Amino acid sequence: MSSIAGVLLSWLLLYKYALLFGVFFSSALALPLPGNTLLLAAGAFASQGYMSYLLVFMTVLLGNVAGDVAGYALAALYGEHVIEKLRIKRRYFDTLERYVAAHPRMTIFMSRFGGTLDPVVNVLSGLGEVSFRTFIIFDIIGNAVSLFIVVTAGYYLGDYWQSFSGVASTIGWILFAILAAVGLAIAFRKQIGLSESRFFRWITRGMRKFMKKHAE
Amino acid sequence: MHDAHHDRDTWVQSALLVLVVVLLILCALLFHEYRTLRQQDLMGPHGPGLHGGGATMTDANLIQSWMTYDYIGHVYALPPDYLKTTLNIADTRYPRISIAESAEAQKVSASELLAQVRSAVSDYLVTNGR
Repeated sequence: MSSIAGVLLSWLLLYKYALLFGVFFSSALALPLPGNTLLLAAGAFASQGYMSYLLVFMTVLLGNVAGDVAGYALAALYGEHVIEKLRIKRRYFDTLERYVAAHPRMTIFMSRFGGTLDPVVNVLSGLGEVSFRTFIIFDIIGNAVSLFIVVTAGYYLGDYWQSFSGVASTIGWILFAILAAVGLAIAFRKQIGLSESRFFRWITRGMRKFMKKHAE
Repeated sequence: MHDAHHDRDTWVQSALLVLVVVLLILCALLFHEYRTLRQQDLMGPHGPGLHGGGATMTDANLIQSWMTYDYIGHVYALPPDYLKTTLNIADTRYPRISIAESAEAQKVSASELLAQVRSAVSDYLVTNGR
């Protein structure tokens, strides 16, 4: 276990929900903190009666959603100004921004499972034309599902959660890598010739069918 | 212009390739971690993995230096001042202090104090038939 994780775990035992809120609010704003380890631990502490399962879940959900909203609001209010000031070329993220604006629900929901990816999507949503209503609804749903999975896993692993923290962190990185690869492939699909490939057509057709079926 | 496009294509393809390689490495790591857990008997129908936390813990080796005395006392159901008296802890922050911080205050190594805490808890569990 890293020393940062060790210190944060000690603080979790001392400051409980305040620490959880602070960590999840900060990590939603792209601060690299071991959120999954803390969440797994908090779930285990809840199973041992040291913390409350419901309060843990509500606190991390509130912290994450508040951080996501702050990221969205900052991007919406000052994003363009910062881009102009730093002279960042708009075309670097135009494709991604257009993609998020065209598929906001699925993108916001799925990115909540990608750890470091969600601050990026928050900023792209704030910069683009994603309405606050759509953003907040799918942010809450996505966060609720992803956080519920980790807290509940910690709760059921109980006393032995530490043995599984490595597995949880690896699964988190796998999800991040998959979502990052998919995001990259989508953003640059024309440039790398994916749109012409049979495989990509097969995937998009399948996704469209799935979305249509669930929209009805 | 053509060169710039070509450069970007190469960059995107390289990034995707790196991500796929990273993904494969992570999958291999996950498989390795899964095997380690199986070897430790922590997975499968007889492992304690999915049994949740009990009312009290019975394995003193699970104690870590980041744990506070308050937490240890709670999960092992120890009397409030048991560790304080057994280990002669004079720190006024007891029990809201971690083993690592306590070791730093007492100017001993964290691993040394951790071993003492594990031993004290283990003794208590044996004495009380757990």
